[in-house]
Amino acid sequence: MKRRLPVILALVGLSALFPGCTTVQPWERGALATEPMKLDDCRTHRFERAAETYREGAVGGAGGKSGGGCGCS
Amino acid sequence: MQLSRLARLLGAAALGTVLAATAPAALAGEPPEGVLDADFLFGYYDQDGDRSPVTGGVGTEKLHVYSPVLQLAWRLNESFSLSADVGVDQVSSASMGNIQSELSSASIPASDQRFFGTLRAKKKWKSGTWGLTVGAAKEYDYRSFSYGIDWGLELNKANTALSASVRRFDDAIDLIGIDGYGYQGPGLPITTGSGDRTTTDVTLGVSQTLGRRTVGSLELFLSSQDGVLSTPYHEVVLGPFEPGAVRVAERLPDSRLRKAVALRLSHSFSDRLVLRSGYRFYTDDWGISAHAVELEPHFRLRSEREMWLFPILRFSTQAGADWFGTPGTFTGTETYYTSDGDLAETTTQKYGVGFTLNTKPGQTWLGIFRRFEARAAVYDRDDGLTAFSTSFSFGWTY
Repeated sequence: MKRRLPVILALVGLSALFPGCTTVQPWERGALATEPMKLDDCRTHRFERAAETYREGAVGGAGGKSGGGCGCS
Repeated sequence: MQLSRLARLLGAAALGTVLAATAPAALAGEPPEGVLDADFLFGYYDQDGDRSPVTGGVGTEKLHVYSPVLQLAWRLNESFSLSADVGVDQVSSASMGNIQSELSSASIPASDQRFFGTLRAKKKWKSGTWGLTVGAAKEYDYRSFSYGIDWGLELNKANTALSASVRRFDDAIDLIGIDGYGYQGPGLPITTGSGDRTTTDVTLGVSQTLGRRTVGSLELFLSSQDGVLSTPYHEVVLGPFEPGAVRVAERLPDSRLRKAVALRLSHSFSDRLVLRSGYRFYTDDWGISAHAVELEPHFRLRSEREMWLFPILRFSTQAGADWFGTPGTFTGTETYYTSDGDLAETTTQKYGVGFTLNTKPGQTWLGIFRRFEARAAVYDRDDGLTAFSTSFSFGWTY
């Protein structure tokens, strides 16, 4: 069950995303164009992501680097 | 050897791409076309605790990091762009003197620097976007070279976006041991020279517009590591835990497979309130599994410019690695052992505040800048480690 959990979570996430799918026309995207609606981290978030990478065993899924590129594991 | 050749080929390909894109304008003696974005970032990080892995899970973890970073993004035309970032982490740590304990105090470096840089080229080709990335990093005992490729595709009038990336890190780590000279522990062979570590990251993502005010994404992450995964100067205190106890270098497996899945959801409740949220689940074959939840409700301030103020909230919980133990846990007969608190069972909380400012085209802030960001957050781990992080960035467009 533990090994299958990531797969289950991914499927739940996919199933949650797609039923709500809709085609938003370019002239209807005003609210989606604001800065906080961007899914990527803001520029300065990288420093906190780096600290989280160093201070936790878990990495990935945050758009940042994984282990490697630094002397940390 | 084959990987080194591949790395050199990719680096040459990136350089060749840059030259091919800029040569015509350069030969004509004209300034390059397009838009140049420049951003200067600065981060400060301060932490303290009393379970330093450098001294076997006891002792101060006090550390400061100053990190200036310069980011440049050059959009040459609608289909091609280049970006680069360079920076340095200036690290001062109370535990650095414990790495080379036999040197005089005048010889022990009070600080360490990690220099890093990344270069990326992105090209739209037919219906997709392709990117090529090379990077490098260096510390006094560590060198890293990375390279990767990424791909993106927009569908359904840009309401759906697919992405995939592969990135590889080739690292060399000096095997300095727990005394700076390769010492591993009594009766254990001295290590010399450097060891290799390779990391391969694969990321698959999909983002989807869920309505006029909602957007979400799903990201799958896989990472495979091989080579020197122990930190050469981390100690483990063998039992019984008492004055004069035997200390040995930590020993961890030479391979690791990591997996993570992340969900993000942003919803605009009104023109002045946006909620950003995220969840990530992580697991690996060292026994670590972790959950992390993030929330950032963004409040728009009344201004001609786009200004947002927001609290930062993050909660995470982690089940520890199979080979973690507090000082005195191990006898030395075990295959693997570590007292690195980063790999232990922990619960962490992060809370802070952030601010972003963006100007409209043609506007500036303070007469020069087009954008500004600032964040400050406190990080609290339940084993006693606490940290404070603050950062800001100024950006302008030429």
